Amino acid sequence: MNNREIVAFMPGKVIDIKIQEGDSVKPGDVLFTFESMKMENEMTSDTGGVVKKILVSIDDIINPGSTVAIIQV
Amino acid sequence: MIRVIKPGIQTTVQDNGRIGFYEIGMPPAGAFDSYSYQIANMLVGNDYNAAALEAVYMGPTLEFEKKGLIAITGGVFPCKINGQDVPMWETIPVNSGDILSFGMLQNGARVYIAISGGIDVPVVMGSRSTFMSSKIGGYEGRPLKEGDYLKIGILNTRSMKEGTKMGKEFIPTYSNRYSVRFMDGLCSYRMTERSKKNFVEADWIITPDANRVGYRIQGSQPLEWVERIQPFGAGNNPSNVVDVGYPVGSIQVPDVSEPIILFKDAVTCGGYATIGTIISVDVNIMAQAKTGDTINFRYVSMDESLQARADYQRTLQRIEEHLLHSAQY
Amino acid sequence: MNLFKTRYSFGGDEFLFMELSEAFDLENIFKIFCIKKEIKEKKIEGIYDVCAGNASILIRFNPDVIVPDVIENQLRQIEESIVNYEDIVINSRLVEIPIFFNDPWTTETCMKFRDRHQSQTLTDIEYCAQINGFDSVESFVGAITGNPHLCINVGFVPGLPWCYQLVPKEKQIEVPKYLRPRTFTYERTYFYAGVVSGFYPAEGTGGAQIFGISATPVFDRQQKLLDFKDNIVFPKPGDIYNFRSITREEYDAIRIDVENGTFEYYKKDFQFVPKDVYAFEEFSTKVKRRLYND
Repeated sequence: MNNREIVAFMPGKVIDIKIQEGDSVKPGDVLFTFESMKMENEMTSDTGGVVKKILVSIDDIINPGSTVAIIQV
Repeated sequence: MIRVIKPGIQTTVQDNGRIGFYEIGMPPAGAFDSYSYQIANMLVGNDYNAAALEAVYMGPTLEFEKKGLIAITGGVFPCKINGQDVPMWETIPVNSGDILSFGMLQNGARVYIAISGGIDVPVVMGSRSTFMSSKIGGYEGRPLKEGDYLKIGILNTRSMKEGTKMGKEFIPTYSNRYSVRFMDGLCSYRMTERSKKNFVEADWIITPDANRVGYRIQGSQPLEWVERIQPFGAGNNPSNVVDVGYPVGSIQVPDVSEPIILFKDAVTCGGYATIGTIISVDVNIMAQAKTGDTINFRYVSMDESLQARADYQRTLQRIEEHLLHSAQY
Repeated sequence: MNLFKTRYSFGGDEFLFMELSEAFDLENIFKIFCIKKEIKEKKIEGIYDVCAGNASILIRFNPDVIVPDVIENQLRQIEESIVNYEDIVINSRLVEIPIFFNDPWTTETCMKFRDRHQSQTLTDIEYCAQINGFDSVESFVGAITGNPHLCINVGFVPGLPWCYQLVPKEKQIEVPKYLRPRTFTYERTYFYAGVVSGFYPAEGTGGAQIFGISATPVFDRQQKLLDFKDNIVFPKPGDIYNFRSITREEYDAIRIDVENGTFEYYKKDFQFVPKDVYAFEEFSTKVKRRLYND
């Protein structure tokens, strides 16, 4: 079992968390919605697995390169 | 031709902008980080005003139809052609079928992609720059979409040698904190002396509300207005003034806790006081500052501002001379 | 006579700001027109933009061509040289702009955003009529259309005309902004903000009070209409507008002309001197006669 880090690719503010710890996800599933530059963007999973840990809350500012979730593949 | 396989978050065609239309309410638009844009054009031997691509936070994936030269400058992004790493700030050859892609943003915020000949889109009011709010200029007045085809122009003035490199001393360094120079005015008389002092001592964080129009910044201490009875024609809020024009780089204060810095796609006038203006060369620094970064402001005089401008132009001249040695005619 | 001394300040290294006054004054608007005209006629090299604020002028210049000290001196000289601005002839246009007041789209927009407005139940035009002392929307519209409006500035977004009604200060309509701005407004909406009014050139957000909708555009990116042949923007500072209240039927008919590309604003060339404007009622009569009877 591998722990795969989901990493933010751009800065923004978390406005919606679409998953819960324990959920099963597949590649392409939307994990978070975040706001940047007055636009809404989605962060999708690039892997399948189970959501082990969610590391952000709503209204958090995320930096590019920071881990936002851990998925157990 | 360049085929857009993936557009990125917001990738637009930009040149030096359309200056001289404030009178009808049209802001200049144009490359936000003018320094990186100009060097990208120099590296591919283009005319000073050839159009290039500006991408923010995420680079596009592009397929080149024909052989040519490209250069990638600006914020730090891993770049690949056909899966192989290629360097930024260098003249790179591309062949028919080559695909350029970008990895995750490492630092800075915006990247510029120039191609020898320039991007060929119609000139609107003297410029190829995209002004998104009015859907004017650039590629159909909008950011690129998957499936778009970009034509290449004939605006190259010299043939550059593949592998021409920029000297390291000319490549900016990026971080999470920037010191930015600004001049006092236009309505700084509205602010208390204590506030003016706080403004330059405070750390200002860039909020997620940050794009080519403007950057909203948040400080730890609200600013204070000098008390007055609002004059006739100004709104009721102490932040209101009788409508004024907004220079590019204005620090506008509609809300004492969250000033907004106005940039090249901003409104040209309005009823909120502006307390200072970022000097023209430091707008390039702001273009590479991103949400979450900290800004510290520093007052400068007009003389210092003009000196900064002269230094900047001298730097560009040195770069041009350095690159001339590498050019083939 | 306004004793305020113009405040000169620089907006960074490329912009010069001349603030004639902190308060709005029609007299300064005419001074600003004159100064702008003088600057353009002198063809000062290195100046890119000369645009007006409501009590100020903003100039964009190239400091590599003209140094800041020199440009400031030149502008001070121009300002000092203008002594008889009240007698300087202004070449203007009189334009009729038909407005469908209290229209269903504006009403619909208002009602969507009552939570951001001073009134929970009234539309913007109903609320503003009330706070300005009018006993009905009709009499309020009568006041807005009764006297012409001077276009003092074009800006904010491309094509947006800022208009000041040519009536004495005591008769000025004045309105507050929304408590929080709307996230949407229809294109061509007629709005009032403070003591000035205008039209949305394109749809957008905003906190101005919205009263009606114009049938005709102020901004035409594709330049389909004859009035936009040379410019994507129609309004010019110095224009004098006669707002005419129209019915739904007339609105629909004008929209067809606009969409067919056949619409042309009803307008006449007009010359005036600022000093004549202060006799507001006489000036209004003169404007309407020139526009409709000559």
